[in-house]
Amino acid sequence: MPLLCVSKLTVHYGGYLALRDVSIEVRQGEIVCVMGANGSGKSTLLNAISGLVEGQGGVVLEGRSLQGIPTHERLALGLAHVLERRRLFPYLTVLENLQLGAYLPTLRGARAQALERVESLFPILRERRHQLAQSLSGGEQQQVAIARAMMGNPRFLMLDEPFLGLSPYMVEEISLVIRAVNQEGVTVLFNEQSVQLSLGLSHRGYILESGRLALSGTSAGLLADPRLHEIYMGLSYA
Amino acid sequence: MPGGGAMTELVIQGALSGLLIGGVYGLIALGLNLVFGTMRVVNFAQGTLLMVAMFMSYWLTAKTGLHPYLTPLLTLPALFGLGYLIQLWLVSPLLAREKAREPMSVLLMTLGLSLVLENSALMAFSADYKTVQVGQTNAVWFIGDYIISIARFWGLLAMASTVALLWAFLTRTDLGRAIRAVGQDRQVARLLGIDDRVIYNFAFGISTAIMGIAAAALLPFYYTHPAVGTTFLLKAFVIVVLGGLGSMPGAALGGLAVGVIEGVVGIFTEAAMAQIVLFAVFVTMLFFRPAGLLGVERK
Repeated sequence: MPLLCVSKLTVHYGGYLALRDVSIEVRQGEIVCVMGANGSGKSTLLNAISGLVEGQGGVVLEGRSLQGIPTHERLALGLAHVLERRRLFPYLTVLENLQLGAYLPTLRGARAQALERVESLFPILRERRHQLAQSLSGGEQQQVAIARAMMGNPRFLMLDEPFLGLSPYMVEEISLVIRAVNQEGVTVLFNEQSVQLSLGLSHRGYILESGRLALSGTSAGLLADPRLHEIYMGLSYA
Repeated sequence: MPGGGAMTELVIQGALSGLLIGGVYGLIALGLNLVFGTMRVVNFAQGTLLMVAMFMSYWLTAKTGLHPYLTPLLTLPALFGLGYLIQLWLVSPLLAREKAREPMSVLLMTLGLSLVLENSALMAFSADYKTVQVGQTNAVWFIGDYIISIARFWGLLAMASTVALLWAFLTRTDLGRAIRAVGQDRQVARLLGIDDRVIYNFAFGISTAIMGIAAAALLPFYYTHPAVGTTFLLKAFVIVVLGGLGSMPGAALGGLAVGVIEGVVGIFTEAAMAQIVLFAVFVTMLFFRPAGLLGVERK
């Protein structure tokens, strides 16, 4: 049984069709990427999985349908979601942001250990503890955002464009962290425009085109697939 | 008009008196700011809730002889519950239907609620001005040549301790941090397992409970009347614009500033003129620094 199973998901924004009949699967222990151009529906897919937008179709996590479960009850089911552009609480300190990651009463008891764990993953956060989140650089903010999600001790982590606007050095750092988190047993689903970057990091990938699933497969298979090059003609490869 | 040293003394005396009543203004602005900072709703019923709190304290004092300063022991839980339920039953259902970031229908609903409460109070308690006399009512301290009203001094102290307690609550407890988090990013808060609707109930409840402290501080030196809220609400608006919408320290400092402006201007002219100056400051601020002195910029 896959960890996450999305079947025939359709999302409308008013009259605009953002996703149409999209089905994906993520298996336990995998890193899976969703690629596609701007407006192809990558973020919408993640937002529908966490319940931030409503859609028709099935979303099943560890055999349990998420239908009708409000967003704020999904972290307790093991689902964490880092939104595009980090979205830290700008006027809270780094530490407060992290503490809120373990807000759920069931997580509070182990908060100190969780903090220890994420700060060993991101040593810079220890130095930044008492700084306001908005004063951090983009790369540091991304680290806090991932660390905050990890404070919730998720089994499944979704990252929406985690590399957006980061320096090449930071892209490398964040990639390493995603691998490290995955090695601790967290299954990861992330979005990214760049094919090379995405497929270099993930086991499998899905490619969306105008809200529909265009292509899917293992990362090695996709890289060798001529159709990938057709779909991505004129799009950035970097 | 007096001149020279006497003049300076008068101005200082005016500023002192203003500073002391400014504490109570700050409390009301604090309530307004807590709700605005959390859910982007300007609560037009804030002043009326102060009126409700004043009638509660007045009634307790008149019927049971309880000192006004002790009435919050009973009124705070009652007012918290009232605010919690107003949010749960009236504000939340409307808020759920509104997609806008600064929901207009909710704002109008709070205005409607304030009219209902005010007119119910008129019916129930008539338009008489009610006052209580306690030891603090006319008591003063002399510091050098200056007169300090003891009742107003306690008001200022009540404000300072409320601000300190509220700040500790907002920064050191999980619930407090969640209230700030929801105000800054509701979606992310939900993703972290925070139920924003429950947080709103608490924010509205706390903001209403604060009116109980303001009411107890006011009662010894101010009249209770069904329309008493309006006066204070208008000042609270000036204060939050001065101090910054959503800023807690801004509300406290803005309250003191408004008190001082009133006190000092009131020396030179009549009270009505002080109000005109106050609203002139308000309009000027809106033109030149709409985010307020300590206001945070919004995305």
